[in-house]
Amino acid sequence: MDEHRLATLIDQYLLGTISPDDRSQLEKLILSDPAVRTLVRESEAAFKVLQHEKNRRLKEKLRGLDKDELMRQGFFSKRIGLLTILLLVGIAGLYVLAGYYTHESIALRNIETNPSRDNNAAYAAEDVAAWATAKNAFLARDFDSAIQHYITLSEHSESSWANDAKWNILLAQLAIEGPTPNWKMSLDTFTKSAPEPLRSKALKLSGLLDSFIYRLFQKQLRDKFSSLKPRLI
Amino acid sequence: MNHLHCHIFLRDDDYLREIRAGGSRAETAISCLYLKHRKRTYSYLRTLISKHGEFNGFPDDLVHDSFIIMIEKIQQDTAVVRSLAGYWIGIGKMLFLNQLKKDKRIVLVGDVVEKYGYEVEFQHSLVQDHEENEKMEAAFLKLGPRCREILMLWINQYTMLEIAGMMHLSNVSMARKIKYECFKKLKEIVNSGNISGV
Repeated sequence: MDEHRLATLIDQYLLGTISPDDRSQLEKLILSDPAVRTLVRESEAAFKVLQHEKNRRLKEKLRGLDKDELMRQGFFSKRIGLLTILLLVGIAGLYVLAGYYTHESIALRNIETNPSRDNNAAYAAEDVAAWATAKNAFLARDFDSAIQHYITLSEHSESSWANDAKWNILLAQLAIEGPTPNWKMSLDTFTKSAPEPLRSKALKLSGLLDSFIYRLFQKQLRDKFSSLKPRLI
Repeated sequence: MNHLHCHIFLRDDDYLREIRAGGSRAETAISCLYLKHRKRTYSYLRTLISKHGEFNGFPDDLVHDSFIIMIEKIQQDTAVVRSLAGYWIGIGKMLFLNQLKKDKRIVLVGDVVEKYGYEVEFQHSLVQDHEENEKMEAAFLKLGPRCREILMLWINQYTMLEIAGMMHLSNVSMARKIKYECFKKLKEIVNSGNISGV
């Protein structure tokens, strides 16, 4: 067998691509010819070095793939974490805004707690006490009771007291029933006759109740959530 | 040429075909196969290791070594494979048990959790002869970069035509000649360096 053919057979033998016929031919040669036997043994030893290097490189490649996978997983878990935080912040923001635009909250933000812009001493002690009772009932969210107390004060001879009491009654009604058509008419009437700064406050309140953000939180989201809530529960 | 891309719906037969084809097709298939089953294999072998606190190897080594052995067996066409994932895990488990036996930490392992059908005995081991490895690495490094490159391409079963193209050689005969010379040189280095044969 010529040298080239023998080298090809040994290569195929080492790579495992040798055909069965060629293998048996080579094996016969190995047994019969010591020179071929030595050549094959030397080739196998050299091939082992190459195989070791090949495996070393493959192992490095596998480590690289592991590293990439870990980075990819880390990237996704970071993104999921960030999205979760954003979602929670969004839900918390919606919750706060929804609370901010409730009728009770609007009423409590706009209440006139201190009617006497002059000196308290100028008014009767029982009037001051009645105002304090009404205010406390309002702040305690007992709006029905607050209305009862403010009705008495709305007949007060001092117009500033009377107007403040009427304003607070409107707010208490808003907190109880929301902006009904009758309530809106009452607010319009009040706005026309009220002095400053109550007039400005009334206009501002009217503007708020017509605003998109109020409608969004009070009407749309509340209605949708109301229909969703039983299903969630 | 039927190039393989990392597609999740590829079957084991596709991987076997590509890996046995050698060259760049095999390289792609090997990476894809590793990525496809690595999570499952890691999970299984970690569980196995956690049940044997006396084992002081690393799951990474176990996973990598068993994968390399599997690829070798596939390329040598000696394996009858029903499931590549099972085959990989089976080899990993045998490596693990061989290691435990070698360390004489156990006499008998009875808690085989899952049978994959590949629990055949073989002589591979996690523990390698570092001195021998160093000698082999040193022998390889004695070759020039060009020889190293051509021999690596050859052992990865690139065709001479591909090798000629990748190494910007004039023709296939030139590639074959350079490979022959380089392999001859390596044989001389190995002989002179007294590296044990197979």
